[in-house]
Formats: sequence, C-alpha cells, structure tokens
Amino acid sequence: MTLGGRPLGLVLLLAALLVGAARAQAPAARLANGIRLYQNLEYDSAAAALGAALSEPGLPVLSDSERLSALAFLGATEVFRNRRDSAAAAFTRLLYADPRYRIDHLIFPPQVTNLFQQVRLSTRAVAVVVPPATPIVAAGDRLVIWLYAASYHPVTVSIVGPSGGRRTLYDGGLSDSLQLLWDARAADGAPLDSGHYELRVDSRADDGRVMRTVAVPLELTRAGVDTLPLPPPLPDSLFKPERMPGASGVRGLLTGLAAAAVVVALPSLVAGGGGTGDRFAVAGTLGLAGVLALPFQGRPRPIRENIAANEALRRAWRQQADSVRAANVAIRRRAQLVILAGPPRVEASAP
Amino acid sequence: MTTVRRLALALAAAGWLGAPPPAAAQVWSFAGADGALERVHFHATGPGVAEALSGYLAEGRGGVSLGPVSLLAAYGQGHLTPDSGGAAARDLVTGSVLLAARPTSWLRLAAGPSLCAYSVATTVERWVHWEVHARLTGPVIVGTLRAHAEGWVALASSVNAGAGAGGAAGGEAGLTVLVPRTPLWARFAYVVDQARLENDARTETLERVVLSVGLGAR
Repeated sequence: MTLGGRPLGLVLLLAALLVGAARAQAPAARLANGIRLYQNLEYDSAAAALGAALSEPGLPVLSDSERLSALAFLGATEVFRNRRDSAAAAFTRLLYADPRYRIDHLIFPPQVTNLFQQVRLSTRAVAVVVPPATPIVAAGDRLVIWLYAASYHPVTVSIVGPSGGRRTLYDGGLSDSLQLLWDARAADGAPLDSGHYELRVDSRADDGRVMRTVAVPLELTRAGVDTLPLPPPLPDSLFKPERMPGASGVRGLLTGLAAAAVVVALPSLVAGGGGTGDRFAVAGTLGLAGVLALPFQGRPRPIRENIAANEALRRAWRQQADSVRAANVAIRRRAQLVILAGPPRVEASAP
Repeated sequence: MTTVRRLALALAAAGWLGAPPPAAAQVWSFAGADGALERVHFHATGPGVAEALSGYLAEGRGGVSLGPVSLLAAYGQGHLTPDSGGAAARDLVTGSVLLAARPTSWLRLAAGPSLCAYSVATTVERWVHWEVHARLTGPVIVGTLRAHAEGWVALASSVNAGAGAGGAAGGEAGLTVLVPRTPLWARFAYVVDQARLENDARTETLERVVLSVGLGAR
C-alpha cells in the first residue's frame, strides 16, 4: 500500500517518532508549564501540572535539578492553595533528595521560605559526597568523605567490611557539613584486603533510633599485586613410613622361650648342676613374655625416627609457607590501593 | 699362656670387633645407668666344705660410650647370712670395669677385670678375674620387651686363698621392659657365677636374681 506515492510504513514510522519525541519532552514541558501557571497565580492548574511532571508514568524522568525545581514550586503552590501539609510533604521530598538544597528567597515569598525553613529544621537527612576513585599510594593518602546535613542531628559514620566488620569513623552531631578522612585501614590500623566495603551514614533521632541511612558502596582494589606462590605441597614420596606392619609373634615366642630355657639351664651350663628355685621366676616371666608376643607382636608399630623425620619435613614446609605469606603481606602493603565509590542509595528512612 | 698374654688377646679381640672411627672430635658420652636389688644365693663345695648362704646385694652400674664402644663399670655391696648353721655370715662386695663393643645390634662383646670379695670378720677372700663376655639380645615384642643371654669366662683369675684360682665362668639371662617414648627401662634377670680354686679344692657358686631399673642404654 502507498500513500501519495510513499510507502505507508515509512509514514507510520515517522509519525511514531514524532509522537515519541513529544512524549519524551513532556515532563520538562509540564514543569515549565507548571511554573508558568504558578507565576500566573493559577495554583490548582500549576499543582496538577507539577504533580504530573514529577510522577508521569512510563516517561523519561526529570533531571535531578528539574526534579528539585519541580518540588520547590509544587511546595510553594500548595502553600498558596492553603494546603500546608502537602507543601511540607513536597519540601520534605525535596530535602531528602538533596539535603543541601536551600530555597531561593528572590523567587519565593516569605510565607513559602518560612515553611521551607520549618520543614528543613525538622528533616534529618544527610547527603554524602565521595570521589568516584581515590588512589591510596602514599602514607598520608585518605578517602575524603563530605557530609551535608539538612539540619542539625546526630549521625554515625562507619565502614562495614565484607565479613561484617565495622570501623566507626564518626559518631556525633552534624549541623551543616563535615569532612571525614579514611585511610583504608581497619580499626586496629591493619591495611584492609581488597573487597566490597560500604560507607554507611546513619541519621539518628534524639533517642538514638536510626531514621535514615545513606549507604555508599566502596570497592577496594589493589593494583599491580603480584604475590609469591606458596611452596607446592610435599609429595607423599618424600615421607617415610610412620608405622611398621606387625611381625609374626612366633619369633618373639621363640626368643622368650629360648631365654627361659637358658635361665633354667644356666646352673648346669656354668656350675655343672644345682641352682635355686628363684631362677624359675625369671624363666616363667620370659616364657610368659614370649606367649604375650603372639597377640601383641602382630600390631603395627609406630616408627619414631620416621615420624620425627616426617615432622621435621612438615615443619620446614610450614616455615617456608609462613615466610612466603609474610612476604606476600609486605607486597600487598606496598601495592597501590584504589577505592572506587558507587552511587549512594538511601537504605532506610523513617518519618 | 700367661695371664698377661690372655688379657692382651681378649682386649685386642674386643678392640678389633668394635673399633670406633678415628674421629678425633668424638668424645665419650653418657650411655646409661641403673640400680639393682639382687637376691643372692652363695654355695661353696669341696672336700670337707659345704656352705650355703643367702642375702641381698645392692648394685649400681653406669656406662659411657664412644660410638659403638662403651666403658661399663659396676659396684655392688651386700650381706650374706648362712642358710644352715655351719657357715659364717659375710659381707659381699662386687665390682667390674668392662670395655664393650657392639659389632651388631644384637651382639655385645666385652672384656675387663671383675672383683669379688667376701669379708668374714677380719678375713677377706678376694677374687680378681679378667673376663671376656658375649651378650646376645633379641626382641620379644619389638619396642617393648627384649630378652638377653650372656656368658663369660675368666681368661685369668687370682685369689688370695688356698692354692690359687682355678678358673671362673658365668652366665646371665633375663628380660628387659622398655618404657615407650622414655629412656627408662626395667630388667628382671638371673645370673650365676662360679669360681674354682686350683685342683677343685673349693668351688664357689653365686646365684643372683636381679631386679633393676635403669635410664639410657639398655
């Protein structure tokens, strides 16, 4: 099918693109429209336009600055609609989005700025600013953490490790802004291994409850780490057998019986006869020992010399491995550390 | 063959069998020591002689070694009382110094002087023997029980009684218990010695049942 000599499909595609572009600009246009309606004192229409710009489903969202501007004008609009709760809610959203935001006294009248100030002083929110990449090379290098508070309130700043270990960097009040430094070490001063860490800033109520937490993921990576390999495990061929298989008890029996016979015969062999009966106690003991050899001689027996030699081998290997580990710790300490910070996210919030 | 020549032959044999390596740096080291309590029976027979005594003897032994060669010394002292009325009680003193060599793990050869003295009132009957020993050792239970048998003969003997010494010989057999993983051991053995005066004028037999506890070389 053609339309005026052009394929119908091409026409439909162009139409779709035009509609899409118009829809993509809709939030910004609605924001501009809302501001214009506010300035024309058409507050109901302005509130509808600004609300739609902030919450238009399925459309590209406003930029951060546009969103802040929309919330400020929405709050001001609600003030003039005599809806102070809605105005306070808009300002609260604004301050949660950017605790550093301060409303412009040249644009908004005092009744608006006064309410904003009231809301700001009761909002416990902190903005966390961390450089996206911080190399830790020299001894004095630190990760610089900036905190900006909407109002004065107690905060706790801590670093949480992959295994849950926590180092508290700051615990106290925060009025406007605060700079913290972290040396990428644990609480005991030990350098941390590579891994996923998290910077957590807890905004607390006066009773200590955590009302809002800003979490910044931190990735610690060591560049250029080339550690020494551990010595290879000792092959079994190096070890001597530690147990001797049991021998036949017959030999022990014969040895015991032969010695017993010697005891009995000694007076005859040496003195030509005689002998007291005491020697039979010795002969009997030897014979009994020979009989005991039958069950006991068959048991595997430890070879103490071989066990000691094998233990010496194992000890030498452990010492070698320990020295390699110590050398690797030193290598890792010398290696350059880079701290990569991810986007902050608000983890919890409470009114 | 004179006494001196017999002694020289015995010492030469012992030295050849267990000659230590000619290492000047080697020194004598502690080999072992033990203490023994012995039940002793003494019999003397001969024309017109029949004595039977018994008693106890305490004996101590020690040794040092240089490679396979050891120097062993022993000293014992006891008291014998007559089993029947005819004999007189007497004190018994024994002693020996032996130079031993161990050519294999199961054989020990030794040679040296041995002394045995009986003291009755103010009279002392003193025997001196120059002996050669051969001792066989074998395990009954490896690492735990060991049996041994030993024989010796006097190449030369002397005594300060009667017409002089006519010869001496002896033997021993027993069992040694080794305490695992320690240098301790205990021994239960039977020993018999016989010494004769010239022309069999008197034959003295000493039987001992030995219980000893030792440390070190066994």
